[in-house]
Amino acid sequence: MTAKNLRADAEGGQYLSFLVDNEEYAVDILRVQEVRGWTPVTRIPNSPGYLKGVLNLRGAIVPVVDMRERFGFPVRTYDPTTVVVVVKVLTQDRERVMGLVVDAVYETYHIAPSDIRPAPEVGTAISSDYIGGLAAIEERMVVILDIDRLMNSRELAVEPALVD
Amino acid sequence: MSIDLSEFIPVFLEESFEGLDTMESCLLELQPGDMETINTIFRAAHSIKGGSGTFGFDEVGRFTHELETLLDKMRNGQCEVTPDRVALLLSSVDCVRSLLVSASEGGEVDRSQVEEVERQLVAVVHGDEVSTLADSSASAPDEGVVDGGDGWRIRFTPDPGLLMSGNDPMLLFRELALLGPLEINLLTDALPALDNLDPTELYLAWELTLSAAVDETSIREIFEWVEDDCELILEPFTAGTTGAESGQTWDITLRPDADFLVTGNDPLLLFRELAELGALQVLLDSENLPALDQLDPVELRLNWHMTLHSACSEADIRAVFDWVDDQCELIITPVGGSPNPESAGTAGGAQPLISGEPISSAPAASEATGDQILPPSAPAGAPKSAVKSDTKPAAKAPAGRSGADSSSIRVETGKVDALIDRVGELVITQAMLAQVCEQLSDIDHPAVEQLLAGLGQLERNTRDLQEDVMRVRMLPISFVFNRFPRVVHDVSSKLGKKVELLLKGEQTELDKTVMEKIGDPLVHLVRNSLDHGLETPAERFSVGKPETGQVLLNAYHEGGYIVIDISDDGRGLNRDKILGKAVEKGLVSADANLAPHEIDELIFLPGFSTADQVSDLSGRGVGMDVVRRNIESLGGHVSVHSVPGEGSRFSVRLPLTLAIVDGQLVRLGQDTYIVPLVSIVETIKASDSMLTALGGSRCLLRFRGEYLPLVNLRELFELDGPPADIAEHLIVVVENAGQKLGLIVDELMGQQQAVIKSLEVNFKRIAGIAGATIMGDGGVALILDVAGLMGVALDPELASAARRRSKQEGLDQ
Repeated sequence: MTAKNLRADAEGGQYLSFLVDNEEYAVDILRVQEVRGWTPVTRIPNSPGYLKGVLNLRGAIVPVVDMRERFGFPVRTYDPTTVVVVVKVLTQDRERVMGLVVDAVYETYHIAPSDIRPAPEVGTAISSDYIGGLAAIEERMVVILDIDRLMNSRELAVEPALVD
Repeated sequence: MSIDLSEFIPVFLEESFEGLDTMESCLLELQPGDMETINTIFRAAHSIKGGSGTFGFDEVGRFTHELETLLDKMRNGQCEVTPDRVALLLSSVDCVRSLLVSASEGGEVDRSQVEEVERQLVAVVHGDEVSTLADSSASAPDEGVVDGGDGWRIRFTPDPGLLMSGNDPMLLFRELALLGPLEINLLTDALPALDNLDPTELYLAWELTLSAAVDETSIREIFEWVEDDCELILEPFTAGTTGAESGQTWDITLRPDADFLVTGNDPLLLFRELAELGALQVLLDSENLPALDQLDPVELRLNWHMTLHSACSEADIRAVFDWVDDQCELIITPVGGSPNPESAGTAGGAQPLISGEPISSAPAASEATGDQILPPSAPAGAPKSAVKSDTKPAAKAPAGRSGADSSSIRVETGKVDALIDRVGELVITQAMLAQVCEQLSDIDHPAVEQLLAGLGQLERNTRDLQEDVMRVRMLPISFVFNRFPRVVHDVSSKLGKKVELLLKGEQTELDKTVMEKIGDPLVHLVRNSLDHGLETPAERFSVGKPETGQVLLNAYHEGGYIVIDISDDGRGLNRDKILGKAVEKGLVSADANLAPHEIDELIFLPGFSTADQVSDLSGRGVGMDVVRRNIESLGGHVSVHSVPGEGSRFSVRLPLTLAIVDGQLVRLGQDTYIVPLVSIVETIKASDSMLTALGGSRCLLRFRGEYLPLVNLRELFELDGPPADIAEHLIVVVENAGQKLGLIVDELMGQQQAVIKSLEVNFKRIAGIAGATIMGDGGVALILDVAGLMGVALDPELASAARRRSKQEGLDQ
């Protein structure tokens, strides 16, 4: 970790970054519950490919999403560095715990809000809807994800109660 | 200073609703003169009133105040317990409940009903009760009703700690004096000797005479802040007559053993307790006191004669002496029928107390008088044991009751669920260790053997622990049964039927979640039995049955299920009428040849109701089918058994818990799924001759004379793997709400109990999946929801084709 990252900054927060198809993404570290190695999951019927299934996290049933497939990157077979980042996602009035399958965990950063630039309309592999901002760290571009929007999109969304 | 009380409101509400339940059940079993029960009811009402005031539910508080006043009168014996008044109290309980609900959750209260009940309460409290409850001609509450006659006698006995809480009796008296001329008498009976006196405690009591025609409420209001810290007795009087009409004078003689004080007893405490029962006068009899030089300071040589004017029973008095009854001689005798006005009224000094008998008589003399007035059960100079055996039963009963109350604690269900999760994890860890250890078992080392033995013990302990933890969620079904005395009471009086309700197996336990959902279906079944099953007294009499009909609720365990039977000894189901109605409504064809029990089953069909008249009790046409649907949604089953003229029995069979399901493990491709055993009719291996192709991959299964639609689960769930060759596959026949369906699976595995976990917590509901469970290896298996699956998988075309074919088959035969 660089000296710059370690310097305590009154503003801004810590972010955990991970690699998906050699691109670096980051999430607010306060949302990360734990990082664990990949273990086989139980498939959910009639679900999209990126939803790998559910796993048992100390008694809780947690859905696991493959970030490569979610973003449309080429599929890669899971290897020992493949990890599941378990995050807390805010959904309507409750908090869901979900797992993100990523290639590897990379780094933790301290990023001041002033260093975060808004997402451009075009030019990234994923929809700007799910990007909370971009941060340049030592010549590298880190995409900060808005996981609440990402994990409540499409099939992951909790339908309104009336829809049966 | 402001404290946020709102966080205590849910606790208050929960306790209040419990209090109301207690009041209700006590009222239903209330017998005149049953002081303990009235006290229980009173206490419940009192705490609701207190809480309502604190939390600002003023309407509830005001209403409960009237209720409490009436109860207080019943407690003091100023007001008799009659069936009419019990009914009034029951409707008051309902009012308080609806007021509380509306105060906490909003919503409308039937104001007119509340006002009507309140008016009746006030009327009863003030003595101008009307004979029937429905009579609306009684006077309004605020008509300036004065029930105090010409004034009030108030006996105010504060707790010793009253001053510590900052209260000052003088201020109270000053306020009282504002109401009218006040005469104050100080009672110093309880004042201890100077060297025992604790200056911070209050040993005094007062007897106040307020000569003003005010109502009781305005006096009680003055004492409102101290009413928990004192004993307050209000008695109205009219000039010329004194004393209450009810109550009785008791003559009590206490002759303690010489070593009475050695064991820590204190007569003064006893007297203070007695004084709480009513107006007490104590006279010391020092006849036995030896000369000073012979006196042993640790021995007690004194006797007392007391006169108690109170509405209490002998048992109440004996209860005060419960702790000392084997160390003293106790003689309790009622004096005459009419109370002595003086003893009830002012502390009137030293007039002769009872019928002129000398009080400070020599021991011999008092024994002689005892001979005349003692009841036969306790002869004079009686052996102590006789008195003792008399006392025990009365005093022990309440003690037992309070013991049961304190042996339970209130725990959030969330905490219990977390505990269950934790234990589940422990079971999985244990299973994992056992697997690892299996690989070690070839190694010949003494430590391995010890390890294996230890793991065996761990397995037993974890299994026991899991069972115990699951049992924490279990509650006795009496929680549900308790509401039925009220239901039967209300419904039978409305229907004019005489009904005796019998409850059996109230201690049978089942899961709280099931309990919460089974109440309404059971109420419906009981009402149905009362309405349709039981005959009117006249009808019963004419067929030679006792006029009082019986309804029996019986709960028992049967192989992992709880069965609740609701039986009556009424007329039984009228099969001709049922069949006629079913044909009329087109539910069965007129030429159908149905067995008796099949006819009985027709009452569970949607839209079926045989009531000639639609009453508000049952017969709204949403009857039995809703009951059946609700019970089946809990994974249960309801059936009926009826004998014409002898009665009918509804049996409700329910799983003990919704948290655990007995499941059949099936394999689909690589994955394991669980089919709840309750839904499974049969599992079969299909052969070509049983299958009827319908074009495409769709297929019908001929199964026991009917055609069932078949669903290939692997296809339905879009699981990969080679296309299934149906003929070689196993089929699980499942049923829900009368519809059967064949599910094609790859392999049948074992059966096991599964703890159901919701997918919704971290994900969302998935059609056809009831939830997930964690397997012994730590993996997750999905549990099928057969009802939901039918909605998703059942092709209407396929289902109707199956029905058509089944019908054809039926006709061919």
